[in-house]
Amino acid sequence: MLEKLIGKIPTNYFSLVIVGPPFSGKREFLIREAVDNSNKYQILYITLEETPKYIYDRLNKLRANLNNVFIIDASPWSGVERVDWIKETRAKIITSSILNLFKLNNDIESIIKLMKIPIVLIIDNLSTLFIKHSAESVFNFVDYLNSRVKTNYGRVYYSLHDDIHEPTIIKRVIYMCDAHVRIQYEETEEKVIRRIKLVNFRRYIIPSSWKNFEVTEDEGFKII
Amino acid sequence: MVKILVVDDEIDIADTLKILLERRGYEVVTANSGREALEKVKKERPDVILLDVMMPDMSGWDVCKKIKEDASTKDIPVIMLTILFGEEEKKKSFEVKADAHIEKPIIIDRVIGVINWVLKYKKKLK
Repeated sequence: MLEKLIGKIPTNYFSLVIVGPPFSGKREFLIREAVDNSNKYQILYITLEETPKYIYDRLNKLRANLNNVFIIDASPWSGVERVDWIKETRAKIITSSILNLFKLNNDIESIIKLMKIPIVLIIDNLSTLFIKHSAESVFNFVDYLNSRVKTNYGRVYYSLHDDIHEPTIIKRVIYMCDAHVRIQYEETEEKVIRRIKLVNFRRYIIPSSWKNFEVTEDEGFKII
Repeated sequence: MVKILVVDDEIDIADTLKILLERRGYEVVTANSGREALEKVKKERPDVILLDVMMPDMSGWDVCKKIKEDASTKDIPVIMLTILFGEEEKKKSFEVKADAHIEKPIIIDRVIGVINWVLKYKKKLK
C-alpha cells in the first residue's frame, strides 16, 4: 500500500508514523501493509488498542501469509480475553502488557531474535501508551525502537491519533520518525471523503499528493 | 444508549449536531451557554460532552476547567469544538484537561470517531 501511495520505496530501513483522527483508517492502512509484505518479510504486529483476535481475523480475511506473522497482545484487554482460539491459529501470538513498557520492550526484543531480519514491525497504536505512561517514557520507547531500525531491524510503523493529544506530542513523534503519513477527512458538497498523503520522507524527495481512499470489509484499505 | 451533552451558544449549530448525532443512535441533550452546561452536566449525567470554545458568558475552556475540577464530573470526557485554528488553542484545551480538541467545520464522522475512542479506550485505561 505504501508503494501505491509513494511509488518505489527508497529504503527497507525506516520508521514511519501515520497520524489521523480516531477510526479514520490508520489501522486498516497498517493491516494492509502487513498483508502486502507478509510473503516477503516476517511481520511483528504489536496491538496496543484492539484485541489480538480482531487483528488476527483482519489479517486472515485479507489473506496475509499468517505463517510469517507474530502478534504481541499489549491491548487494554490483554489477559482478559479468552485465548482458546489462539491454539487454532497459524500466527504466533504472545501476551505482553500495556502497563509495563520495560516488559513490552523485552518481549519485542526476544521475539525479534526468533525472526529473520529485516522485519516489518507495527506498533498500533501509540496513543494508548500516552494515556498509561508519561510522554517522556513513550518518547524513549519510540527512540529505542527507531535506533534499532538503524541496526537492521527493518521497518517500523507507528500509528498515532490526531485530535486527542497536545500538539507537541504529535510534533515530537513526527520529528522522531523518518516518514510521516497523514489521514484527513474532507467534506465535499455531496459526501465526506477520507484522504491520505505522504507528508515527508527524511533524506528523500518524494512527490506526493492527497489520495482518496476507502475501507471495505473484504478488501480493507484501498486507494480510489 | 450513549448520552451526549452538546454545548453551543449558536442554537442552529447545537440543533444540527443534535440531529446528526441522533441519526447515529445517540441520545442528545443541548445547552446554549456555559452556565446552562454546568447545570445540565449535573442533572443529565451525560457520557460525553461536546463543548464549544467561544461562548459569551463563559468560554468552553472555563466550563471544562470547572467540570474537571469537580470530583463528581471529572471523569466525563470533554471534547472541545472550536473555530479557532492554531496550536495555542489546542494547548489551552489540553491544559484545562479536555480529552480532545476538534477544529470546526464539524465533520460528523470525525466527531463520532473521537467520541467512540474516548468511550472505548480512554475510559478503560484511565
